[in-house]
Amino acid sequence: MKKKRITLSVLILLMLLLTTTGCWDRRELEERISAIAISIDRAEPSEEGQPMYLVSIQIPIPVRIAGGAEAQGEGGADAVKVVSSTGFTVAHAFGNIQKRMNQQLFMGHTRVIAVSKEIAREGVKELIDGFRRDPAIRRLLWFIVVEGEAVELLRSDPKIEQIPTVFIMSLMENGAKSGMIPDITLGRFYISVSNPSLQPILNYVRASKEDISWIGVALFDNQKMIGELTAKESWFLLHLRNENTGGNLLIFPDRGDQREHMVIRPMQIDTSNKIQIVDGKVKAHYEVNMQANIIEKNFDIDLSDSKNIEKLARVTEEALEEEAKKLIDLLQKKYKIDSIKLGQQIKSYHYSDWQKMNWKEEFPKADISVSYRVEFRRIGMQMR
Amino acid sequence: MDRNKQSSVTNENSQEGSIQPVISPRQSASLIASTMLGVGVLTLPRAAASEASEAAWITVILGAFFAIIAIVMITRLGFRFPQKDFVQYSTIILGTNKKERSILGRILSTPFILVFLGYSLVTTALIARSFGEVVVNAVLRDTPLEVVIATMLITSLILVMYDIEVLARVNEILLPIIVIPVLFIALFSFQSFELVNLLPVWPQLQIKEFLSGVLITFFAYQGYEIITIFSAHTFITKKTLRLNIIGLLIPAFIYTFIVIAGVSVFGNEELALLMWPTLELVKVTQVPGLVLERMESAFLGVWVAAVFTTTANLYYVASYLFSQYVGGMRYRRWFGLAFLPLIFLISLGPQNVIALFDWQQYIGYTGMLVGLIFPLILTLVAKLRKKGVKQIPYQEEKGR
Repeated sequence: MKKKRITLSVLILLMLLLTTTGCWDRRELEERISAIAISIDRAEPSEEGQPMYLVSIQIPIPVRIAGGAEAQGEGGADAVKVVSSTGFTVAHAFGNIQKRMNQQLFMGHTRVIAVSKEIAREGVKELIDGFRRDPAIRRLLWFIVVEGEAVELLRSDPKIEQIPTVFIMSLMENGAKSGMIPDITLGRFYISVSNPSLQPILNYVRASKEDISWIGVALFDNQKMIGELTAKESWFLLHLRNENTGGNLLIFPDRGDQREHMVIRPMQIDTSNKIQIVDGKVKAHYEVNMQANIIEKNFDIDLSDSKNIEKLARVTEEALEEEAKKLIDLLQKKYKIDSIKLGQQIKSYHYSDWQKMNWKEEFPKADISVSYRVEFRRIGMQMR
Repeated sequence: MDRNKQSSVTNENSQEGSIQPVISPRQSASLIASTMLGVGVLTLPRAAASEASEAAWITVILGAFFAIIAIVMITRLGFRFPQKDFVQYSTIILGTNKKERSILGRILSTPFILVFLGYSLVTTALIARSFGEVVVNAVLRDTPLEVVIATMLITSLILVMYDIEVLARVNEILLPIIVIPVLFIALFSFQSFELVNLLPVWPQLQIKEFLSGVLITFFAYQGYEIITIFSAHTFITKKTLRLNIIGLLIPAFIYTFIVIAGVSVFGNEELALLMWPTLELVKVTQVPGLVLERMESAFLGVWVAAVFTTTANLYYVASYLFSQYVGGMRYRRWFGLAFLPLIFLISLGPQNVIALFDWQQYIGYTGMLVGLIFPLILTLVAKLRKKGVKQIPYQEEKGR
């Protein structure tokens, strides 16, 4: 009996050994190189004349990050290394980068993928194929278009964050949260590329040596960039897409006098649209309900009188309608691209008409009108 | 204690005659639900949406409707032959009237049983393979596929080594662990819900496309066939049929929920491009205030349990079927062990994921045969030949 018990306990102890083996493909954090940002540019063609990509990655250097064991690094551009390599495709270029790395490249921490305007204009379909296949690439990372060279974005050092990519990331995240920047992640871009009733947009960014700034939105026709909108135009686009509030708007209440102005901050946007289709002709009316705060004005008007606030609201409505109309004209006449998601609405709510029409050709001919309904909620801590 | 002892004895000797029921109706429901919930959860949104576009969720509900019909039929068949399993009652139904185990009955029932056996073996293998593919693709990228599959199969074998009662209890315990997190994730993914993606309710669909969508979703409901075996061990009470249907409604609810979530978040065009759409759904889902930034690892952890119950149950059925067929119930465990290399080899059959999906489609058709056509034939023949009991012999659930 006792013998049996001893044998049994030895057996159990031996079996416990099995649990101490650890993982099959264990890889410590410092045993791999994390690319936190990727940029893709056009490179010189190969000797055979084939087009090449210049792919760069930003890699954080752990010992240089302040607060580390030695704490000698001051962060910024010193804390990261930008490595570039050329290749016929993105994956090919990654392979070439890997040749120069002592550890395995890891894409699981990538937060920003930037492409140059030049590449975006040629089409991004073949770029995103590899990203779609890689399970490590997050759908929630920021996919952006850079004016000029995309690698400039990786080299740029705004100094505010230790790692420049973290700066870009938080710039986008906070901008999206406050409503200034459209919340377009890689996953959203995938969706709008594959959905035939949608046209993609991407955030458009400018980078210099010490500055990174959001300058608007890049318009895409399926997977090819065809134009860009300024920041202000992008905000009206956001209103029409019913996505975000956009940033602060400058309003000139007196048309004649450009010195008189006020700044309003949209707090809430609710856009509804009515679509009528008669004989394949699309007539759409957007109604944007906006709640806004007045945050600054430089002319004399007594705001303690609610009638005056009402009057300003009407003036603001007119000004906003005019701007929105300008944007729609731009989209219809210049770019001929439905970036306001009208096609999706028609497909969802007027499916039989949608099937009969070729929306790409119909959109420039569609009759689209906008009306704003502005309500000022707060005027701040000052009465007048 | 006493009952346990008794049940283990009767299980081993079930060849000789009546089986003592050990599975409660609730356990029967959880057996059905947890067998259904498996790899289908990960691929169903794509499969349904690529056939039926925006109407995918309707096909899922219709698929459930057909599965309910099948379940009612099978449960009734089990009531007709109380405490007899598929092997026994198909022998009785197709055999001569004199003996329960007539030679004619054994010969005629052989094709039915062999197809069922082949189906359960291959399905076990393919589910283990799909599990391996997901794990190797998404999480453990350097681990050999064979190791992942073998781990899953060996774990299932451990459960096969136990009695039917243990299997039922394991399923009962694991079911909420599977269902609650999956529902939780589906619920959170509604944060990026877009109604426009679900409209139009009825896109211009060929009726053929729609029906093949229903067929595909019906495949996802397969797994309920196991009650043709387990019903022999289930208490026949007034609740049994109702609980079996509830056992189906749980996966039906989850499937509908996940398909609606998938279509509304991605749109059907994007969904058709995603290899494992539910996994991608988890990836874009951010749960506020949760420590984990990447939910997919947590989700896969839960999903292992879902796959485990599916492979183990089907594996169990394979070992049971074979030993009952050759009349060696007391050697069931050894047969189970002997099946392990066979299942492992079948699981390595498909060249890649795409071939695997093709195989799953073929096995889906076989499943239709096993889960729909066979019970239909047997029910009709039994009615025509007036076999089985007329009055359902309701039992008391003892000690529960």
